This record gives sequence, C-alpha cells and structure tokens, in this order.
Amino acid sequence: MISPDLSRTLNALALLVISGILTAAFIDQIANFDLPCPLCLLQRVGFVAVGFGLCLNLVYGPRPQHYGIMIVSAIIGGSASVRQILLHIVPGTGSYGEPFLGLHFYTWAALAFFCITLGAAVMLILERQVSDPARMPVGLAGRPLAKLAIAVILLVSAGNAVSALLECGPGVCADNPTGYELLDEAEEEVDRMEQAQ
Amino acid sequence: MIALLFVLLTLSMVLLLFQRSMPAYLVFGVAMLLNVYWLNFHITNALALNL
Repeated sequence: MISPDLSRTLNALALLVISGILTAAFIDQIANFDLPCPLCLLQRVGFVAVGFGLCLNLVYGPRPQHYGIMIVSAIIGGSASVRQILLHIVPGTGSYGEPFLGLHFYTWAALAFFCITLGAAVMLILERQVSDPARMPVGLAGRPLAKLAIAVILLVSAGNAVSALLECGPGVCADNPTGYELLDEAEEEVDRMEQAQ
Repeated sequence: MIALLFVLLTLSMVLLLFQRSMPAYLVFGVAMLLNVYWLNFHITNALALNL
C-alpha cells in the first residue's frame, strides 16, 4: 500500500516521463525532419490526454476516476499506434519513419500505452491512496515536482499545437506529410508577391 | 484539425491549475470526442497511405 503523498510523487514522475516521450518525438521531428503522420499526431494527443489524468491526480489528489481517464486515454492513443503497427505488419509493406533502438516510434508508443494502462490499474489496486479523497489537500502548494511536471507538459502540449498547425494547416493532415503546409504556403505567397513587384 | 486537440487539452490542463474542474472536464470531453472523430477518420482511409 502507498500513501497519497507517495502516489502524488509517482504521478508527477509519470507526468515527467510522458513529457520526456513527447519531447523525444519533438526533437526527432525537428532534428531529423521526421514529420509526424496523422496517426503519429493522434498518438501524441493520447499521451497528452494521459497527462490530463495525471494532472488531475496532482491537483486534486489520486482518485479512481482520474486513473479511469488515464486508462481510457491510453486505450484511445494505443488504438492509433496498434492501427499503425497493423498497417505495416505484413512483410514488404514498408514502415513510417526511422526505427529507434530497433523499433519504430509507433511500436514504442503502443508499448508505452500498454505500460500506462498497467500502471494505472496497479495504482487502483493499491487502494489506500484513494481511500479518503475528501480529506485530500487540493492544489499544488509546497509541491515543486508537481509544478515542474505540469509546466513541462503544458509547454510540450502547446509546442505540439503550434507544430501540428504549421504541418497540417487548418484542414485535414496529409497521410504522408512532406513539409510544413502553412510555412510552405507562406513561402509561396512571398514568392508570388516578389514576382508581382 | 489535430492542432485543435492539443489546444483544447492544453486549455483543460490550464483550467485544472486554476482548480476549475468542471470546465476542465468539459473541454477535455470535447477534445476526446474530436480525438475519436479524427481517429476514426484517419484509420479508415488507410488506402491513401503509401505502403
């Protein structure tokens, strides 16, 4: 059995791990120009949604419904990654992106969503942390690790919003993106204006 | 427009910081509904992918 304080610390660490996963994908996107496909973006959304459940645990204390939100988010995010694995599971059907440590990012994502689901279920089994939610202190006062974890996930999530907007524009994301649509459009517009002058 | 999902999820977490749990749940719920819509959209047009 674990105490509510230990549970909150574990949730903060888990949120930092989620942010780390998203940051690694972001760095790969920028450094290697490995643009995320729509299914890749939806997996990132799944990680951020899991982060929402973790934030709930950090702000309001651990409760079963917060872990439920994490599990539902992990299942939805995991659906996107499993779908992408199945698209490429037949030999000769190619892959998307470069592998990392022998596995593609969508395979790592599926494993991560499985671990998140398992972790949330284990935390639900350790019931003492959620036995008396009414007496749980609300807020982040005196919890620097929780503040840091929430600040990082907010930054990463906002960064992904900007990146996805630049890549897809206001419409539907291309299945195989080759560039940042909004930036390319802006560049074309500048070229047109220069030619017109 | 997947960027909107990130915006909504970021907003829901900001609302949590200000302890506005009901609006946060509402925004999160809208985000998840849109997430399922886009998931369904993108997993059912697989033939457009260059395999």
